[in-house]
Amino acid sequence: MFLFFYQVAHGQTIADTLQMEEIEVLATRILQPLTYQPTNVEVTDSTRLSFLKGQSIGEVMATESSLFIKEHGPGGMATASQRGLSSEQIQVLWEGIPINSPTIGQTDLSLLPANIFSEIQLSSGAPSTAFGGGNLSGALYLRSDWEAGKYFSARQRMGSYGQWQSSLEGRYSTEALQVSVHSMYDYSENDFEFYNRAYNRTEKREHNRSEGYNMMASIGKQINNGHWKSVFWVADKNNQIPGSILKTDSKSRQEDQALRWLSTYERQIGNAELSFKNYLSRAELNYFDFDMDTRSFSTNKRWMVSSDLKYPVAEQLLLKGEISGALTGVVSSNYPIDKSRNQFSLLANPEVMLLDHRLRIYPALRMDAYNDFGTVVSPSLGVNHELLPDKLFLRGQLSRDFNPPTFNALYWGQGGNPDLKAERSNTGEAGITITPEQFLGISSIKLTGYYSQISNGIRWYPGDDGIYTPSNIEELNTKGVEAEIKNTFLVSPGWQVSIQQSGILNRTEIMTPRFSGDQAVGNQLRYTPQWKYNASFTLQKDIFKGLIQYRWVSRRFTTDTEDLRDSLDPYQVLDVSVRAKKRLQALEFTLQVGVKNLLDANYEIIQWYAMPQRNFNLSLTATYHL
Amino acid sequence: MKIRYIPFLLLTTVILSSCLGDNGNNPDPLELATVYVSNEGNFGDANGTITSYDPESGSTLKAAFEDANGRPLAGIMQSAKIRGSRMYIVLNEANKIEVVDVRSLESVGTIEMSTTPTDFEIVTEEVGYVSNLYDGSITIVDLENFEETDEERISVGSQPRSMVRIGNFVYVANSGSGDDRTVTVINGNNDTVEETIEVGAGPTEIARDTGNRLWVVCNGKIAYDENWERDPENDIPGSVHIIDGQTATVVDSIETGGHPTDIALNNDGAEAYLIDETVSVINMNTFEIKEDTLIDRTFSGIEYMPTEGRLYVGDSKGYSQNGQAIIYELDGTAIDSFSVGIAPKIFHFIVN
Repeated sequence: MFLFFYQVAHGQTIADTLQMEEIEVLATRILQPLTYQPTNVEVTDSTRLSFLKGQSIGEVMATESSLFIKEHGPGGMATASQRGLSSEQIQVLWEGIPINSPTIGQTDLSLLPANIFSEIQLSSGAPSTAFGGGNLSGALYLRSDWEAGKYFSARQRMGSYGQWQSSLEGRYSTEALQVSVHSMYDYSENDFEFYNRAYNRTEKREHNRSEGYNMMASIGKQINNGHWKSVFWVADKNNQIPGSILKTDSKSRQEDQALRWLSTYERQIGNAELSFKNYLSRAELNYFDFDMDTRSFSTNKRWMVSSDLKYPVAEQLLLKGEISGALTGVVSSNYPIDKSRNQFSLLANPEVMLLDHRLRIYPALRMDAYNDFGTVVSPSLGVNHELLPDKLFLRGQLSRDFNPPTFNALYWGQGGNPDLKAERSNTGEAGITITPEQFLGISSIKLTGYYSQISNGIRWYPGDDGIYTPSNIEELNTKGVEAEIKNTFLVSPGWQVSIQQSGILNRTEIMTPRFSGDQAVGNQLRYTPQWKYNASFTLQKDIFKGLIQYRWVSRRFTTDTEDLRDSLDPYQVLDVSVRAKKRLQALEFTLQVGVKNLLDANYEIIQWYAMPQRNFNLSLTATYHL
Repeated sequence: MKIRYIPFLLLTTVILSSCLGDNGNNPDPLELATVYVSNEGNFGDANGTITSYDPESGSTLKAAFEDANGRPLAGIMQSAKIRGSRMYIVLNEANKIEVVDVRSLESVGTIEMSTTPTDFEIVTEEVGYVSNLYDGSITIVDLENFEETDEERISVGSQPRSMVRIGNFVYVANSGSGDDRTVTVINGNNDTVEETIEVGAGPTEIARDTGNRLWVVCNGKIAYDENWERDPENDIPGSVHIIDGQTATVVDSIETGGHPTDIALNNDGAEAYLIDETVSVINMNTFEIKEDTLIDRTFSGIEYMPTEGRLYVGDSKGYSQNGQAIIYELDGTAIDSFSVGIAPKIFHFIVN
């Protein structure tokens, strides 16, 4: 594809190496530019996100990243699978704070609207040394650190099957004070048509309404040699739960509410840089199923404090470390009594630069002490060697990681197992990054291979009494290759074209039988595609900008045995958006039209959960620049 | 099907029902043509199936309904019953009853339910009963138009499961997750409750023998305390209660201990085979446990095949991979096996 565009365009190549280096990488906790990281980091920046406003983080990641998003359709849950592992094994972070639910161990990405975040970083292979347990496969890092600006903006979006979104945002920043507010109200009937293959007929999704509100406000201030910032995020979502397409009379619904408050203070003392974080959160997840007379209530509260130190000892050595503590409490109608967890962590993660800064070594050691299941020590060692200056980088990492058992796994009333241990993994990976300056418009090529063995994997199985109970029974391995290539061209007169392609090949298998006659051994894990390919094409000229996104996901097996009969067909989705932006003095108007699933594909990502066919959206944004 | 074939089929086809509640009469020893295995499937994937096994060639069709109809069965198998020339396949999640021709498995109709069905029983050619899991009731369905009728639901006990008809009486096992211990008797003539019979805790399955006696498998109760911790001291052991189907009276009962889940009847040999952690043997004349452990394994389903004089059992390999059907001689020796769908539960034998 990139060759085709090169011949058509034969324009001026833009080396975006400099642009890449400007990105502040946070997802790995290694304070180096992208090309000097030991692992691959995918970045969806604010420019790109501005095109994807109105979508959830789940939708954005499905098209923009190597993640496989397990979407249950509009209004339904969307969770991430990375490197073939489960959504409990990827850590979702907001400004460095783990936000995976302590009860279910995962984050529903459908609840996170993209427009309240400034940037998304996805690090495959981010080790547990970076942010603690929960990342056997890596980390998804959400930023809300907005650039300086003075404006007020209002946006209205509407679309097929009753989509309606209203958002307001504003920013005011001076050298001493930064204030920003991002808010969004969204409502959708989600009553889209789909083909029901169980009955060979077209139907309309029912009982699928969703309504939600998100507001993130921040204030920052310079104080002497330091900077203080406080961010307040409130989210409220009410969803009807239709269940699978086989159900026709669901009366279930779910309420998700969260209140998060993060304060940070950073200060320079001599050469040392100190930062303090204080985080408080309260999240509720309530589920009601009137048919089954189920009323499930759970509330979790978290208080986390941390202090981080960075001290450059010499040009070749940057000392870094963190001390942190967290209290987590859960009140749930599903547990016999209230449960809590105390956690204390120590981290040392220095950065060493050798061979005239061409060889970078990142050793790290972390200790996490939990009151409920003991102490876990996690080491990692990353390396990056700049083989050809600014052009060729070799990288790699070895790590031993962990994933603590969730509160539900430990304490669920009927079936919880308080004797569970943490899941552990040993991971090795190696990669290469090439950043040619002028060659076929290619601005970067990344290739990564990895191998990981997971032990003590937690899996729920029914016991003799029919009650599901979790145990540390699963031993599995995951291996694969991740590739990414970016091309950027400037074409006269004034056309700018960029193409981004990525592909993954993954094989995740159970290694040892979990019971006598286990046929899963050696087969691809359920709901884990072996291949995924993403491509996006951006075209910009004057006030117009277009974005075409394509993704293809290979077959997923719904049972342990790779039986074609028990599988979901591969699917491909093509989304197209066109935007026009016009400024009239202090007012700027942006009109955007989008078509999702242009090819009108019928597909299911999760069995019996239909995805919408071709659908449309339109948005108008008015921005007043102060 | 052409009408002229019907008398021929009626004469030459004998359908052996295996399953609990089917007529249970052991037929003359004819040649076994096909074995249908109804597989529950995984709850999350709603992938219940019917496996068709040809004993002569040893070949299987893993999803025979889908092969016959070009669409998946789609649902979690609760029960499957052969009545006349039709099989009634009860599925929840989709909450429907697929009605198929028993020979071809081609769809005859689909009854979409507004409840969560667990079992079906035919009352007349036009009327059937469907037990509803959550509201302790029986829905009356119209078998000509394949739909629920407007008739008021018949209230029974808690969480009704298996149903069997003898004459005008339809017997309903009210499992109640161990908290109910009744069998409701409904008069099929007027759709009213005739009687409620007390049996053991958690009646779940009913099998009928050739003497019109009903063998009610009571699962007992697995107790938990107020903190949902296991409370074995308050467990109620399982039992088998034998009911005279003509008079609706309890004839006898057998305290089995444990928590039995399924039973198969060998009328000629007067033996019942009970899954209760192992497979034990009950003397059907003396109502005593004759052999504690015929097969030292547990299974997800069991049926006696009279033509061969063998036991077919379902071995579930969990809910995310295919199970296995194993064929045993009556002395407990395994002689053959074949692959089936997820969580095999019920066997039906079709003979020529």
